[in-house]
Amino acid sequence: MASESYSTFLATRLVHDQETITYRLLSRELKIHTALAKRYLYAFHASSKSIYPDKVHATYLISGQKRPATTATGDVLMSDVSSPPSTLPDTDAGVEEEIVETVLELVPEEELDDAKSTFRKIAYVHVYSLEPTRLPEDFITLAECGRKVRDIDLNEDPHAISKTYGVIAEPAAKRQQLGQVASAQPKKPEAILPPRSKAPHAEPEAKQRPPSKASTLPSPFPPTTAKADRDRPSTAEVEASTKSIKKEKIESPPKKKLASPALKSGSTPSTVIRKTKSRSPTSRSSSQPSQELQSMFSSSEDENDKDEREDLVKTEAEAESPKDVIGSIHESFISDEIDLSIDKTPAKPKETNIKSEDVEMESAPQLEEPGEHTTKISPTKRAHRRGRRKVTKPIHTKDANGFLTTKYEEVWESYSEPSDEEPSGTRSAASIKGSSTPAPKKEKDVNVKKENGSKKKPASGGQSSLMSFWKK
Amino acid sequence: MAPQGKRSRSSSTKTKAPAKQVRLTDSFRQKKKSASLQSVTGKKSSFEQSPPEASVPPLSTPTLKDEVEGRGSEIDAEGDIESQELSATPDEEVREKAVEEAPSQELEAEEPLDFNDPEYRAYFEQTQKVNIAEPIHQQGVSTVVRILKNFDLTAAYGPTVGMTRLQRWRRAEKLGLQPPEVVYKILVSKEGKSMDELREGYLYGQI
Amino acid sequence: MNIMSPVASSSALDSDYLLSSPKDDEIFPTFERRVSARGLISKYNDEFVLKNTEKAYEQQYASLYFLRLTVLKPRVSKVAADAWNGMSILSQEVKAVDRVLDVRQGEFCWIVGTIYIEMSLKPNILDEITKEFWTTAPISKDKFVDPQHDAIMLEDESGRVNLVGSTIKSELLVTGCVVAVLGSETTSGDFDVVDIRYPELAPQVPREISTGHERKYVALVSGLQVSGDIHETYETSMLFEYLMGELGGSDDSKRASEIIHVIIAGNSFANRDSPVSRDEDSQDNNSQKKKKKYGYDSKSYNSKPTEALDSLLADLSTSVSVDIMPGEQDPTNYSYPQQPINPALVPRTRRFLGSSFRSVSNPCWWDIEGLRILGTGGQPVDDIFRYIEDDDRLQMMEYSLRWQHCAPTAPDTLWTYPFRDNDPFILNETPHLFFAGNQPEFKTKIVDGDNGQRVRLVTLPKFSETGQVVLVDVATLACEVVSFGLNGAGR
Repeated sequence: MASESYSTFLATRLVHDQETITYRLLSRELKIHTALAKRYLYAFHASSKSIYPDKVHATYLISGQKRPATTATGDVLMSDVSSPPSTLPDTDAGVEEEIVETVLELVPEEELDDAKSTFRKIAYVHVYSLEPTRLPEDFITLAECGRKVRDIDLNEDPHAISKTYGVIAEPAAKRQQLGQVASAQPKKPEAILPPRSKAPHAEPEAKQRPPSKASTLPSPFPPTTAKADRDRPSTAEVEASTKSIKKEKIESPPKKKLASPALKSGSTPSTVIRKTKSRSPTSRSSSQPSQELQSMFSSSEDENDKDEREDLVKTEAEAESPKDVIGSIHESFISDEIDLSIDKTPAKPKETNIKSEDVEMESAPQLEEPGEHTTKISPTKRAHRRGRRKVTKPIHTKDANGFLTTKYEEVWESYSEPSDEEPSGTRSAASIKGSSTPAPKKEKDVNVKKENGSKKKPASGGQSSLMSFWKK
Repeated sequence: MAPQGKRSRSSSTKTKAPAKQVRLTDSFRQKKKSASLQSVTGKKSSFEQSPPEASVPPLSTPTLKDEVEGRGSEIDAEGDIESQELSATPDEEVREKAVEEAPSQELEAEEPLDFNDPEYRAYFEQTQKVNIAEPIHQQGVSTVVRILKNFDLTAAYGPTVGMTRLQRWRRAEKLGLQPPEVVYKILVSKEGKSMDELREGYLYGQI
Repeated sequence: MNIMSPVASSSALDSDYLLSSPKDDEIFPTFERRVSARGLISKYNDEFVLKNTEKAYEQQYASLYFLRLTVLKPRVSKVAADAWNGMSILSQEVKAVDRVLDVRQGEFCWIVGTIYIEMSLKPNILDEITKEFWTTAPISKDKFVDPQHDAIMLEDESGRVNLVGSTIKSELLVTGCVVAVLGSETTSGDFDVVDIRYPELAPQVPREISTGHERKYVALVSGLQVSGDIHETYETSMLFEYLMGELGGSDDSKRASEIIHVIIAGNSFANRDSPVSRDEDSQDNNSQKKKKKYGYDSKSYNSKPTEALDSLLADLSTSVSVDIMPGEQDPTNYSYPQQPINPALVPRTRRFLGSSFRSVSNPCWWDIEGLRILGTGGQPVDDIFRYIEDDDRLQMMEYSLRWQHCAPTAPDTLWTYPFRDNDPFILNETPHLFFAGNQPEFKTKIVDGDNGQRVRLVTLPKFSETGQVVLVDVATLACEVVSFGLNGAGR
């Protein structure tokens, strides 16, 4: 970096924005080595004394060995580290080890000299951070800088971090693409969400939707149609709903997380899809739901408004079997659970969205929901996660002989995660069929279990109250 | 022979009653196991095969019933054996073979227990030599059952509660305590696996 | 692989070299860690990590004691035989007695069994009942030991015998260790102990001490107690910066680059919220129950610690390989052995799973460049602490090695899984490094065994209290400490 730009940068930061900056944050922002960043801080601090007196305060880091004297901080374990010799006859009696203790201490500039005097031997001193005013006693504002640094680091390749910033590189470190690990939450399934449209933000989107589709859900509250859709997720209906969902998805705030990451721009979902499709050859699970999803998904693609997407959509339509996409997502999800270390998608785009990380974390508890293993298609990442999900439920029924038997069947269940207060998943108004015969059809609605399911889902997603379902 | 046969039959009738009580759980466990052990399909097919086999031993009808009822718990035992496979030491060929056989094969290959085998009687007499007196209340009990109970009561092999006799046997084997081969042979036979009375410790159902 | 630079070699660097203006053409060194072998010893660890499909709770704990005695009895018998065979006391030759109950009055003999210490202060299930009938529960104390009233007994499959005598009183014993005692029966039926023997240190796998110039360290830290709060102590961030080679000067970075592995041993998650009261009738519980809404109860679940720790670890994993081991307060099972923390709790870091991040069980065995390490989160040592009067934790760890058992008080006062087929805490080999996390302070010593074994014992202090991380040199077993401090108010 040109030597002048850093001073401008720091001036803006400190004087204008009145924000603290650490050497680490500076190095990330200017993409320089941390040692150079330390120098910059020092240089700026030195020069600022004349230009902005009292506007720039420095915190130093002293690294060295402390004196054995009694300082409040440092109990130097110089010589009383080892305990009395063991009772075994072979040990050396009375030998006490000298344990070298290196101390690294953060000191505000006012205390620098005092602190220096407590050190027996000083290895290094450097500027740790610059701030407009002296930091509070526990240095908590530095934590915020640290967070920013880590967020920046998150999106970079570990080896790049090392080269650029001078961080020690770990040869074995390999950050898996967000896709594989995160494919724990394949976003495709959101496609089958019918009236997620209950979500508030869905409303405007629903309105935006072109009325061209036949069975489109025109309003955000089509309980009956929605339910109808759900009950019989035939391709057509689901398609329609998918389209609507897809729309919402695309236009909704970028918190979605498709099998790939950031959906900040509208084009990304399609991009994502395209890319996921491209890695399909390895698809292993092509369960029925996935096929449905596929068809839904691909059909939804065709209806996209924006030009960009349209183009991509066409590409996708021609792309390899959609089934594979979901299949591979399934598979990567499952195998993700099993073996997280395998890099499955070489073609995955690099994730960039920090938000997707957040959502990833949100979904983590979802992953671990007990009792429901097997194929789970978690919905796309949105601010509010909703969707239908296939879960294996134990169903207890009474046998002909009067025995209580348990069968495990896969049912579709809707649920929602509430960043918005919608438990839209509940179709409690809808039919509550008694669950008697364990028909292995997935059309079988969850009904009674739905109630429970919907209650549970919010529970896992963080919804505050079931009452919010009726509120909205 | 006949008296002994009668004794055995009566003993097995006794097992019917307790077996019925656990029927519920058996089927439940059975289903659970079948859900989780899908790959071991051999089991399912062998169900059909075992009834014909049941007619071979001297006890026909009772054994058949025991088979049917014991099947559920048998699966559990099988499951245990599977997990045991890792822990058994391949010391002797007999034992190694038993461990490495796939469960389905084991099911088919196991031999029906000859309750009247003179070998058992001889073995049992020998174990009783350390005793001062005859064991009491054991007139109607078959030799095989007595041998197994004696195995249970041998403190050297550790506690008996909470595991099947075969598990205990394998554990003793792994620890190098050299449990008797005779007991092993009884335990891996068909009846040894299906009949609760033989498979489980003497405190089964009580603790 | 140091990228050498125009900047002079580190030794010549002035302590203030960073307090100077930047030069345009300067290149700063960036260090790199060496590729090293950092494996887990699966034959031991597999016994700690219980497969969900194989967990059964039908068995009782008696099996665990049986297994322990069966395995350790031959070992201690050998030591005892070596010591006492041929010895005669009062012109009587001592002999081995098989069963504890077979001792005869007046005969000098030696017996082997498991120690059981009868302590009135041990937590008792009946205390719960007492609590119901009386207003106050019995006071729980730090230690169970009550030297006046405790009875020490030796037990084996035949029965128990009371051990008396001054020799036994001065020994460090806890329930569950297998020992051999020499003595004779008194008139009252007790066994008067004259001498005692332990299994002593198990054989050790020999270690090649490399004499290369490059030093390699393993960094051990425990008790991070990351809370994610706004008032989080900043030392944790400093620690991670140091490990990544950013903090301090070039020597600090160089030292950091010599760390080939970081082990975080327990209690990484802070336990900020008070646990829900166990007492079902308490006011708190009732009101909490009423308030319980659907969704996670934010009063009892706070996701900040996991998020903060995740963020820190994800950053660290780019730079060094990390193992995280659960401690008493971490979100995993409470009983010992603790299962590895589910990586799903740290989703960002999880992406390094398989490369530079690993979640391990507590306890755990490592093999790092030939150095065999046994580490615990500190629970066994803390439990042994309750049985004896003094506070020398290193001595407790040493005795663990001598008893060849790393958690002798399980299952008596240390909750554990009812193992049926093997006791995984039995030490079949002595490690080179044995550490226990979450101890009050940093202490270390070397213990030598009878057959040339050499172990470094380390107690790790809680980082949240002391800010210390311990570096152990893989080649020489030397220890160093790096500590981080905040000097906000000139303290």
